[in-house]
Amino acid sequence: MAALKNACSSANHSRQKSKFFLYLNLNNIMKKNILRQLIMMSKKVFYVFVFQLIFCTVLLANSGNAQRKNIEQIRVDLSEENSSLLSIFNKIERQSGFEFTYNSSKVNLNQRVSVFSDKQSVYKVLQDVSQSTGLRFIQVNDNIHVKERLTPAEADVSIAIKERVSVAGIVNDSNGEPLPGVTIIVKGSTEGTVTDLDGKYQINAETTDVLIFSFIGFTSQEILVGNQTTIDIILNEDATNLEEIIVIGYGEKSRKLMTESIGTVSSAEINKLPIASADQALQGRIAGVQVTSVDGTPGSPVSVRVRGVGTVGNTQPLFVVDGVPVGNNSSGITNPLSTINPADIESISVLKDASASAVYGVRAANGVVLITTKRGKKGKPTVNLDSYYGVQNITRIPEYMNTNQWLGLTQDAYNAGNAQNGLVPTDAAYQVLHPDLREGSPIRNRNNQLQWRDQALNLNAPIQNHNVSVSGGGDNFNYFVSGGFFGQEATVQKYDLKRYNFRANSDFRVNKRLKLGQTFTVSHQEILRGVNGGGDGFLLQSALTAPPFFNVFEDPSDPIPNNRYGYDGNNDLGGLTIANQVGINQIVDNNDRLTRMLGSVYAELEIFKGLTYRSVFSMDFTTNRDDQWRPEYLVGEMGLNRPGNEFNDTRGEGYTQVFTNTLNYFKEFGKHSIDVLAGMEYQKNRSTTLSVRGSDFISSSRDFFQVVNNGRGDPNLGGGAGQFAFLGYLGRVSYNFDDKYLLTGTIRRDGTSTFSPEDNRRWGTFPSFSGAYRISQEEFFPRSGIISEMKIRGSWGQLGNSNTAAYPHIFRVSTTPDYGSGNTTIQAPVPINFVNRNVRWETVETIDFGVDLGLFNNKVDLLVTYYNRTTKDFLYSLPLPNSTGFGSTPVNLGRVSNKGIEIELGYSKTFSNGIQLSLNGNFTTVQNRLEELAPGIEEFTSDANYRTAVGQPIGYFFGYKTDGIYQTQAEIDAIFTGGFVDRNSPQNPRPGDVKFLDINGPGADGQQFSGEPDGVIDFNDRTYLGKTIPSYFYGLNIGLNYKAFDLSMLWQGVGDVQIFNQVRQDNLNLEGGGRNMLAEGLNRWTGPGTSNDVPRAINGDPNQNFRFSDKFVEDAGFVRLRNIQIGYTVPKSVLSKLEGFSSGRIYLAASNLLTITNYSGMDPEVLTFGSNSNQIGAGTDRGNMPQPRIFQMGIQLQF
Amino acid sequence: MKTKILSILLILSFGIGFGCEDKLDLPPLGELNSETFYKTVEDFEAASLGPYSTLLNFYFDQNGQGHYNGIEYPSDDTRHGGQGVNNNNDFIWLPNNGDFAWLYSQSYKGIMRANVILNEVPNADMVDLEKARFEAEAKFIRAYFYFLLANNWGNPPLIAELTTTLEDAQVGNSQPGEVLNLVEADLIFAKANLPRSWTGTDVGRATAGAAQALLGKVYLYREKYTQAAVELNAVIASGTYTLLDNFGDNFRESLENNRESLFEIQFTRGDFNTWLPADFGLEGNQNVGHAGTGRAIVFRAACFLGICAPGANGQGYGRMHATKSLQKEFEKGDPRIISTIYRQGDPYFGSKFDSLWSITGSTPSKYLLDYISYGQPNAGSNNERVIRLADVYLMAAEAELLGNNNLTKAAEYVNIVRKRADPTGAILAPRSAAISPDAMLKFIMHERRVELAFEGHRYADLVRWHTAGIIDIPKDIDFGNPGNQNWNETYLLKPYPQREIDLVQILSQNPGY
Repeated sequence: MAALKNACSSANHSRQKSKFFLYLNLNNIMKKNILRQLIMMSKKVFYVFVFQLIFCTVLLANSGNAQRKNIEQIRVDLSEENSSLLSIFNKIERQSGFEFTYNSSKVNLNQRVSVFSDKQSVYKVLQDVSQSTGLRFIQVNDNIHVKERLTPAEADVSIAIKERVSVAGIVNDSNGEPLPGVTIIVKGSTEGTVTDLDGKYQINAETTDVLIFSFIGFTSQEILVGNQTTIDIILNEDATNLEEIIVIGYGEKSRKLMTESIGTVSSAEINKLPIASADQALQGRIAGVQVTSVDGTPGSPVSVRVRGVGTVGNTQPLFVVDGVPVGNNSSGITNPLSTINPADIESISVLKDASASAVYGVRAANGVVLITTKRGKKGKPTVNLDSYYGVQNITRIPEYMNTNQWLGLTQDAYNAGNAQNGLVPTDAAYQVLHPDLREGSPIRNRNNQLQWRDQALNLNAPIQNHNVSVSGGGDNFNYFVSGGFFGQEATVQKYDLKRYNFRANSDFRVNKRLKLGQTFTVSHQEILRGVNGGGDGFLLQSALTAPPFFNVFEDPSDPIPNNRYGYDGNNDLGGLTIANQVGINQIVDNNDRLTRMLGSVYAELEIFKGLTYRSVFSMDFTTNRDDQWRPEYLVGEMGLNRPGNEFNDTRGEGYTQVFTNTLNYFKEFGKHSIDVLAGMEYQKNRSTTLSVRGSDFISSSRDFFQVVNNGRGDPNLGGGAGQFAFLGYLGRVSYNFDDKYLLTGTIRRDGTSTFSPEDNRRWGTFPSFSGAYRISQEEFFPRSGIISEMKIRGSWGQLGNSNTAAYPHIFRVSTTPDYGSGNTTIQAPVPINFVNRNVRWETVETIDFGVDLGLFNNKVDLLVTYYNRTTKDFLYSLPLPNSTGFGSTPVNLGRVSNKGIEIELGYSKTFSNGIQLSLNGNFTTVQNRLEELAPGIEEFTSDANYRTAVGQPIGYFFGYKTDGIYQTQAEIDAIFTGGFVDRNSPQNPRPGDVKFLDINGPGADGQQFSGEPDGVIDFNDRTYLGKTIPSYFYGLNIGLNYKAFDLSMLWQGVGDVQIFNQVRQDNLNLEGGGRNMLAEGLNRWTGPGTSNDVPRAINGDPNQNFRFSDKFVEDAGFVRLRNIQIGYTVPKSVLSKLEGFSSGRIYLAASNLLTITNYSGMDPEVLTFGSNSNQIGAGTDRGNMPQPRIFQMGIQLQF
Repeated sequence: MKTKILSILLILSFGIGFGCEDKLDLPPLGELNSETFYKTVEDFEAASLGPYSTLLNFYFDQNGQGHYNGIEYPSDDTRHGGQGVNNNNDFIWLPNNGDFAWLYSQSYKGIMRANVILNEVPNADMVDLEKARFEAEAKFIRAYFYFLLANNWGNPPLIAELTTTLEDAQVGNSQPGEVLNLVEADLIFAKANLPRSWTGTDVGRATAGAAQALLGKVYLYREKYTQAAVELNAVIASGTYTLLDNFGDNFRESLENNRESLFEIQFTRGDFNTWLPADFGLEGNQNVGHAGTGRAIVFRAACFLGICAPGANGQGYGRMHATKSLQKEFEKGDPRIISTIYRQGDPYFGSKFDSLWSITGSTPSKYLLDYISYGQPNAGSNNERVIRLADVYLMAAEAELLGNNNLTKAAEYVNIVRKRADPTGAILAPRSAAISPDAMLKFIMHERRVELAFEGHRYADLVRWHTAGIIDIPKDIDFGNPGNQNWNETYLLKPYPQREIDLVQILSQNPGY
């Protein structure tokens, strides 16, 4: 059996190299479904069968012969006098259809025999022949075996036909789609058949026979025929199969022939998750790929890091959709992926090493994510419906103080401040509680802190998704059309995202050599929100920290005069006026709309056999309109004065054109094959924005104010424009010897408009090589060992990155600002950039080697890869001394390395009781290190809390070390002697203050630090406190199937990573009198021995207890049950009663059900708001929205 | 046949692709650059305002970030509004002080912009006279910023050319006197090459008189009293400037750039967001940010312990209060007090001022009296008077006294200022020249304090007098607690911003920080 299967699989992959497979490849046909797609694709399907016939002939010996008769039923007319045995046989064959088989060396065919028959049965005739020749005859099916008769006991004529039944059925995949081309063979024989286009088959077999159903990429199944006449089978995809087809840059490849490091996610995995954007589907799936959501806001951006962080600028990978580069996703609104319906995605490939991504040289330094959308299949239209609805909630909200606790803290802080500064009640600065808050004031009875929280939250916020698609095709065409709706509200008030997607993909075969096709997608997204920006966690945060005696709403017994909105501005209540963000959020309207059209047309021509030319033109057009309405509100109403209403209307449009031309040549000679690709690609982007403001509208009706010039106030105009272009030439040669030795070489030369044309800085050339050796193909490789498949592979290559502020070489002058001259506002043009003509490409050099193992007959897949990425001349926005007059400038500087190991493990097994188990795990380590900086620059900061320095990871936390709390004055006096000072604490610490450590001092010449305590606590004592790039991350996907039920779980985690919990720094400052503080502040120091963790309360914080220190840098490792899902596939017996349905599944799912972490904030999975694309400053928690817990219910139907 | 045509077209398209290398030559959109700009007189008419515009950044928001916080609060004239300790007010000065960092970075931004003009002028298509004028304007602004930097930081980095390389960006402390030498040289050039006055939309640009007065001020600060006297006397003698009849008129928006005024920062309330610095959004080429002055908010009375002035916004308004010692400094009945501070019962925007509204019982009225504040935002466009003739008289008096020991001249100048304040002489009797130089100096110091309160001079005056040995701050000056407790000579200078110390290895922090 094994030998048979091997024969077939090698036949299959030979086919893949044939000419029409080439065009399919270029069509981005995917992975495991390739055969299925193939068959429906065109009339070429028949060639497939021809190939199958040639290579797998023996399997097809005997199909479709239902009406077999035996020799007793067939009658013949013969009148032979001394004819040769051979001529008698021939005549019987001609009349009966039976065929004689014999060994001519044993049977004398020339002997003369006489036979007369007048409509006698063959049986009778043969009996006569047997009499005269001593031969015996056995009918086996349509054959009549001729043998010598050795003993009289042997029957002269016998019929060996066994009892056979006709078995028929349909073979489907786990999604309920029919599988054409599935091989069905009778175990232990060479009899078999294959399924047709609708997945149907028919075979004759004995009741004791076992049928084996097998198909490449799927787990084989064995079924005992028994009394069944209908056997429907669902074949499950074989998770560990090496045969899967992977989409690579400008083509595709079989996994087992890959020399590169590429990770993939299939549509089946994507469809299960409640995600707004396809990049989220990568989370936890692929070794080497770390995906972090910025926060839990609908549509919020996602950071994708492929193998660490190679640069300090934009470190997002390049996203390519159906071959069209759509850019680096850097913000939630413009995220190119957010406009692609996840349900339309067939597969995602992540190109990780240089060899894989080198064909995208220009912007591939951070890896490339290839997204392929679905295409139609030949056959009648198939309709898929897919729908889910869920509810979302925040699971963890820290506690804040009540009014009494707030007052206690404030009084303590005032007392301490007055005492320390020698203030007496007659001093202006002497602090006393505000009259509103003194004993006896009714305000002291208000405890509204929970009301503030509840008014900010949106409990059970809905999330829903509905998709419908129709696909099908004919001999020369296919189509896929879909429409979808995605809606998600935030878990806080007033943030409602709606998205509509439409897609049409099709391919047309014009003639034998020419093929055309297109993709087109339109999406429209609207976000209706209040004041919440993308980081609407800040609404929750500002509500949580509202002073607990503040009212959310106006007090009905004491209404605010002329209040229009019912909220309370709490104007000068307790000496505080803080904007009522909960109220403002409700009355302000922001409406962000984005419409995107992405279309492409391709033509593919086979110039001669093996040489294919392909040209693709695409246009990615976006238009956005964001408007903002702010009605008038006054301090009494909202705690903020905004007299006069205002309406802002901002519109932008942009397009990206991509023009790609490639030539592909494939040739096989003997055991050698080569695949050559050459091409060019031009890309241009242009965008403009325009904004207008109207103010002082008579009416606050949207119908009125949306016409901006209805405003009576001054209009305010704004605008902008930008453009850039890339041009690249690419080439790739792949060589394959006997599927054993595999080599790939790639080169790409790229130019960009970003850099100076001088000295060729605009251009970069990026080569790469990779090779693989499939040891298991060797004769000497043991067939029976536990290792069934083994490949070692390695690659080296260089990639480019040009992601930096454009035009660093041009001395740019902006017409703003303005200056008042002669009482008129006049433009005052100024230079806006520090010119650096030398900026050039950043180069990422990657070394990668690993081994792919298939164990236990490929039941277990194991991939281990070592990688080492070194970024040279990395592009950095170097902070400049302010004395230059500028803030920063792009430079090429230094070297960064990312090293690590990736392990991927796959396992699948079908147990005898029918349970199918699949496990897919991945684990990645990252060691990120800045190796060197430009000469003369040893270390620098960009943000006060982050630093990038040689020998450390990029963007690490940099601040003071602490060692508990000073308990007594004696303890302080023992340290603060002999000139010992803390420069940040001019009055020196007092008991209850944080003990900061003196660990370092200024270095001698050429050295920044001495490394020794110097008796002064100052900036030199700031040090490494943690890092924002995790040392390791992992994911585990578990799937279980039993009969109609399926269960899947996705676990994901990161480790050895830190977060700056700024929420804690801000809300534990213990100065009193202002915003509400974390309840953690109740554990504050109040006397010796009371706390060694939380310092005393004191107004003004003279010791700077809350300066940036290790107290606020927390471990943020976590393990999260990202998704769990239980599904039930409706049995065919039920569906068949509902006419039209061919498959159906319902499921229940939960996301973020469980998170295990030591982090004290709302969510350990957090990025600084607005910095998903950049690692500098990536790990600050400002109270971003946490990832919600989602419970979800869904249905998938096909008919 | 069709296939053939298509094939040819396809193959041709491949060739087309190879011809587009020049398509990478895309200029930035919506911007000028050094090749298209800095060519003509018109270009420089516009570009020369770039350095001036930086001045606006000091005043942009309700916190008065930079100027009020960094320059005015440390003085003994003002007290920050809230209860408790205020770092700037009470001398808890740390290198991470954002207000100081803002002053520092914006000053250098202005210097950079001036250096760009100086760089580009020689290559422009202009006659020498025009070149000299633009050079002089740039040098005036550069001198203004360097003077501020030297007064506040001592020996800050000296950058007199546009920095174009990263190596050149590493500039350490200047040598003592080096910065002020450049300031003097710039002002001498400016004085010689600027016009005496401007007309039309040019009104507000630097003039020869402004340069000369500033030069006199620099000499005065450097204790070059005789030279100071020469320049300041010349300004007075030029006849270009005369005192307004009414002291309070100096601070009225309707009387900007009047005959007493030598140089003002020109605020106009444009259509943009006056709460943002003039340069906000510049990188993105966004048309936002047009700084007015936040004085209307900073100076206004607000609330103290729950008792609120009309229109007060909690403690959001009314950050600056006049100290008791400033209130007492005024001679009884000094008419200038009504245009300087509000006291109990003074008319206040339609009601009477209540001293309970203020932590000190009094808030500034200078610039605010009769001022029409805009509703939204509460930022105004009343110019900041940087140098006015009364200041020149008082500086000249000081220079004559200390440089030439000319008590007569000193008394004459002081009396001119006093007479304008009280033409009758009944309240502010003329100072006699027949007193000791020390007594005359005390009179001058008194006159400066009351005449120029809240105009940004006081703390700088205290520092230079302390440095010159004229006063001893801890002994003579009452900042109130905890300022008195905390002050020491460290606070003669400000700390360099921590970011700057981190980025420039060779920059040394000022002593004591």
